[in-house]
Amino acid sequence: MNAPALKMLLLTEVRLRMRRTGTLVAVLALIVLTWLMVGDPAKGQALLVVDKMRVAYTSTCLALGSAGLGGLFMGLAGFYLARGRMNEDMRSGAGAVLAATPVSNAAFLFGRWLGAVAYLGGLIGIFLLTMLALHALRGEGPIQLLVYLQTFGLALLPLVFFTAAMAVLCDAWAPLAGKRGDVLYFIFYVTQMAVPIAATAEGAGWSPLLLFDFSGLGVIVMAVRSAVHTSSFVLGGGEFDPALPALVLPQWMWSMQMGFTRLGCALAAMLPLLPATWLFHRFDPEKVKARAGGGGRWSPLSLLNRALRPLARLMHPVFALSARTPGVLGYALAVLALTLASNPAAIAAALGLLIAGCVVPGAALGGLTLGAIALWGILVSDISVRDRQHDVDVMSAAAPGGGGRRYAGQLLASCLLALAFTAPVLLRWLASDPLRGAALLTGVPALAAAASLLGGASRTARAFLALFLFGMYVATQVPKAPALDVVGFNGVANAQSVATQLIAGVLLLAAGLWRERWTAARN
Amino acid sequence: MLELRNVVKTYAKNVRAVDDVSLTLPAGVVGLIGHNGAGKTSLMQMIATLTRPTSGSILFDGVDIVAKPESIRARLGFLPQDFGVYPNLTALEFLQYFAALKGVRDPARLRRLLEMVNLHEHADRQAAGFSGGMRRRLGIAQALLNDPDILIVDEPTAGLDPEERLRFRHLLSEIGFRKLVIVSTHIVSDIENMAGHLAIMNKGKLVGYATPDSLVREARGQVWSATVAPDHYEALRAEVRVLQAQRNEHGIHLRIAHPSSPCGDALPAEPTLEEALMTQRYAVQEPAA
Repeated sequence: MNAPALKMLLLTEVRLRMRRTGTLVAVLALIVLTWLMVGDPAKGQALLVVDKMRVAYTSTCLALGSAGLGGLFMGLAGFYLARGRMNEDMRSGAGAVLAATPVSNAAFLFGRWLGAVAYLGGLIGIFLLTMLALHALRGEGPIQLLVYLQTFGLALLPLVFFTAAMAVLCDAWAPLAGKRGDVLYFIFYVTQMAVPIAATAEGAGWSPLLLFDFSGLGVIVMAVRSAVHTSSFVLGGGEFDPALPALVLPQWMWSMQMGFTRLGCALAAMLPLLPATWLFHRFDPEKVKARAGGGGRWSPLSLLNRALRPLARLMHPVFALSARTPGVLGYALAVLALTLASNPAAIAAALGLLIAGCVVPGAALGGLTLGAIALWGILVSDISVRDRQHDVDVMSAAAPGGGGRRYAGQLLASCLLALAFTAPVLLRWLASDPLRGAALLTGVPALAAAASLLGGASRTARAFLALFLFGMYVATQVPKAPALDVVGFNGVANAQSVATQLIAGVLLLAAGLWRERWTAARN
Repeated sequence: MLELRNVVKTYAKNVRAVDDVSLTLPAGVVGLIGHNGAGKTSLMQMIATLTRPTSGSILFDGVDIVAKPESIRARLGFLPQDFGVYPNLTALEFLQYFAALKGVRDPARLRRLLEMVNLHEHADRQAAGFSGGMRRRLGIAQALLNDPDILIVDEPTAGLDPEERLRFRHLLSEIGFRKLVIVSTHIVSDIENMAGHLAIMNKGKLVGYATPDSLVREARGQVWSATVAPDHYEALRAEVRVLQAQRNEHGIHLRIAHPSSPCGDALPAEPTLEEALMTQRYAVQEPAA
């Protein structure tokens, strides 16, 4: 493939992704994230704290800190934003035409990878611009663009390469197409976070594990450690002693060895492209289901769902009840029954969670809720986009009550689904720890409203899924933050956080209703 | 030009979608006819190198395209039935993308094709706002990007208005003067004036390969025209195969497929191609066992 053709492929991939609503959501999330992570020292918060001393907000400090924390977000959300192009090809029918073109598998996938890299690079560029704006407001010392560029380049380039390569692999290999790949990547992402910990645990010396430190956290920790000569520092939202003087990091933190390590890491990050090329389905109708955009009839989840298929019969009375129940509740019961009947494994999980919710000790309820809400979020992310993905949205909008009833019904179904997973936990918390129960009671509708709004606006489940999984991950890593304890599993929610999520839920609900009416009026 | 040798395609649970099809196709327009599930799409997907035959071979200009799919891809234009567009791209951007994949380096050709399919005034509009017919026309332009030697189109005129349909038929006819065009369709009027040959499939087998004229000739004497009273219609319909029924002031005017005169005042009628296909045993879908 020649350079102009490759340029056109790259340009198209970037155009297609940049014009998605999900990109706008990601950009907004990045801007919010930037402002949240660079705490205001006047309020006792600092991005980087070493032995209770805050590190001055120079270009080096802000670049290192934001690259480290932003990388966490981009590594997860970037994957969900970058992938899905082949599902789009399959759903639109363009996949068959792509398969019949003379382009080779390697060139085609390389083009897709380059496009994803350019897209994620663009998002990081926006992140960088936001950081520069924040530097102008809160920074100490001049904005040194080269320091930012060097730090972002070395820390985040391997991450972008890896995220894009994994997105291509999950799109190219039929068994990983669809939600299965989404969930597996999340598990993989959380697992690979152990690499920087392992790589830096051995001391300040170089470790070959750093070649697989795609997030860049390992080298950032090493760089800070070698500059401040201590392992006792906090990256992201640490409290400091204002009586102590601010520490100033040297301007250049990256040694030659680190640079080469990141280069090697960038090369290693491209390794998933090899199996992707080898396993690429090339839109073969035998390997992928044309409209569903997913294959893998023999995947563990498909096999489990098939084995548990008889459980779907438990939903027959719910379907019957939905037919007898008028209005939004009837619609919600139908959506609930459909969601569970299509995922018999979720019925088994709900039964297990209901029993466990009754019998486990109170101390274990937090962990149980964490698992239940994670599963719930994955199922709920689909509800608002399912009709569109299966081309029945026009039919459901033409049913009595129209799009408005559909929206309200889906939202209610999401809440009912959460109850099916957490009802005993909710009752026990309301009895023993009302604030925790209130967090669950207000958090679920707020998350359901977010799923409906993001799903409706972006037309894909991934916008919500990416933010939801990232939020869950952060909440497990920062268990003391009340604002992150959205459903009460950390047990630190307070009246203020519950009130905030109640308001957030109402605002999201209003935004969703407005969007629904606006869409109906536009059509 | 294209030769199929004992092509078989078997899916899971031993479903034979294509069953031992052998056929040699020279340049010209070939209509692929058959019921839903007859195996047309599977056959076209194998020729378009989307999927491989379970057994048999497909040769294009003597080269086995199952072993060397790239030998046909550069010379192939393909428009599947459920073809859609990327809604976020403009018509021109969409063609530029496929031009890059097909190795087409002539930007002027893209504009010419947009004019050919009457989309030149919408070149810079995002496809999200296109009607079904406009999307179809964009698909047609895409299929012609690389000036293909073999063009495979599935239900090409679905969603097109009568004028566009005529224009597209004419275009396919012209391409068929020099190249091989395989058109799969349920709309017989689409192909009766342009197809040199019809390949008829039923239950995965190729059950006929003939010119439209010869099919019509074979059906002569088997199509009848009659006008019956409404009271008699139900009884007659139970005995014969009614191809067409239309109420008028004298009763119900019928066209009937039958080997001999189906009723007293029936007159032999000149069959259309569609009626000829309906009268042939291979075009009649047998009831499921």
